[in-house]
Amino acid sequence: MSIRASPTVAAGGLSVSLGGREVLSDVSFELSAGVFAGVLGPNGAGKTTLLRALLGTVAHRGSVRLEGRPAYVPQAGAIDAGFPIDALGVVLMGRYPRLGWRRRPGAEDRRRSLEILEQVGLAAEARVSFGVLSGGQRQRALVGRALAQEGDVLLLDEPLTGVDAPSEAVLLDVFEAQRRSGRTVVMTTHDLAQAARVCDRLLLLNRSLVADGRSDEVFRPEVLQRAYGGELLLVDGQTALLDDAHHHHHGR
Amino acid sequence: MVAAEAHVVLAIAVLDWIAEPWGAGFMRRAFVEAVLCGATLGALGCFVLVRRLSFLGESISHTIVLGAALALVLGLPLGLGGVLVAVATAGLTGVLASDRRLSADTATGILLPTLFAAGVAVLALTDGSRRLDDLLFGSILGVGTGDLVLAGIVALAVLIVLWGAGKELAFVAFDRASARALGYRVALLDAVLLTLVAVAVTAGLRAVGSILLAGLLLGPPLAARLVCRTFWPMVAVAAGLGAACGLGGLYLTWHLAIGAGPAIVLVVALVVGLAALAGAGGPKREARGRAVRGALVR
Repeated sequence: MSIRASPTVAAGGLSVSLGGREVLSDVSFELSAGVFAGVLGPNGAGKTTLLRALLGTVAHRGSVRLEGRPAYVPQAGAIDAGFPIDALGVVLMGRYPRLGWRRRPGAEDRRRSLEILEQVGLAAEARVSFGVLSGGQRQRALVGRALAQEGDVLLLDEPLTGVDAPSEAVLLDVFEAQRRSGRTVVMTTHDLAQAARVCDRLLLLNRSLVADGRSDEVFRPEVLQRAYGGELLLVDGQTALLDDAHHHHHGR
Repeated sequence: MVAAEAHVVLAIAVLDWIAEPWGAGFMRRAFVEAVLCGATLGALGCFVLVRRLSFLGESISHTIVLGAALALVLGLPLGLGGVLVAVATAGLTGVLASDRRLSADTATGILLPTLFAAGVAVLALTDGSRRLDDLLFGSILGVGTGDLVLAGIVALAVLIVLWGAGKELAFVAFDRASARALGYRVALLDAVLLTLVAVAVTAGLRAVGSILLAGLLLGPPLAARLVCRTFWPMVAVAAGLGAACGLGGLYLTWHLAIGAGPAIVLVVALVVGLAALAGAGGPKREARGRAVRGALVR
């Protein structure tokens, strides 16, 4: 996979209205291949909507560009864990688009899916029901499914929220490997400190794009204040956040 | 020797019990109808179950009486009336549920009796009222060749759709957002599934009737879910159980003179009970098994 200079993911004057309310307003950015971008912002900032607009599943104004095939991992809460499926079955689903209608996954699809399970550390869990897996393991299975799609752009909606530490380490390794192989990785997250550590590009969102750049450019008190407003605390010159994840992610 | 004779007598009695109903032509037709409808409803019911649309399935099986009544009055095919009313039921449920003050079960709860009552009223106002009992409780012992052909066509249609788009339908049931992101036409797949359910339910009216249909639509899938960990085995088991319940119910009808609809649904209930015993604590057992294996590995 060659690293291209031209943008693989871009938005120009992107606006989205949902139910008569403008959720995203005039967002413009460009990401080139081999970038691991973190999309940050408070709840309701439009992070998920931005991913959906990039995928073309919500109506929008302005331009959106996504070069190559996207692979998408929705928020874990959007998926019904009661569905009768095991970890291998979840990853195999990533092979469906290439199979087209009628055809069922074959030996090659299974072989590839088992490899991917190995990669996300779920080889021993291949036959375990999705509903029995821990939250972090479910997330790994879903990321495995996205890997099975072999897309060029990985769009991840809060893949690390509510995930245990071992799973987080595995997932970050996987994302980094994807980035190194020249794919574009876009991840929404609530965790500012983590995003600063692992992402090489940060998009700070609050309905509109508040800041876009490296962590040292984005993580300045006056910039964060504009994105987070009252939820931001300044303690001893250090920036701390009243993590809005705490308000909303119980019971995951 | 006496004991051996007793065995022979018993064996003959059992074989006789099994074979006897097949001697009557109306029972042979009923068996075929029960197997076709049971298998079709069982397979489709799995999608209804995993989509968590059980109450909508229950609702459609009742509101379909309005569709059947209108079809009778207007001289249209029963299936067409059934599909139109089923789609209307699902659509109106969606519209009502989109009001934030209402939930989907409230919407279903009010639509079900309303459309059902409208169906009964239409039958009463026309000369269709003598059909009411048939629609409510089924009349499987009176099925004709036309009914069998309809049930066969529906079963074939379900097979074709599951062969062509089964994995896509399963994907949408598991993860709607990703299905959309992958470019699947989710609304179209929903419409296909709903139409199949509507047609199958309409065909099933003949077998068990409106009031008891939900038992055959949801019972075998529930039993299958309790003993299967993955989706396609569940569909196969549910189809098989649906057919078996249809057969078993008809034996009860023949030998105990219980109405066919209630007999079939009672067998379904028995099967669900047995499956619950067989699959009791499945997820917990699976989790425990993993913990033990994990400890051994470490």
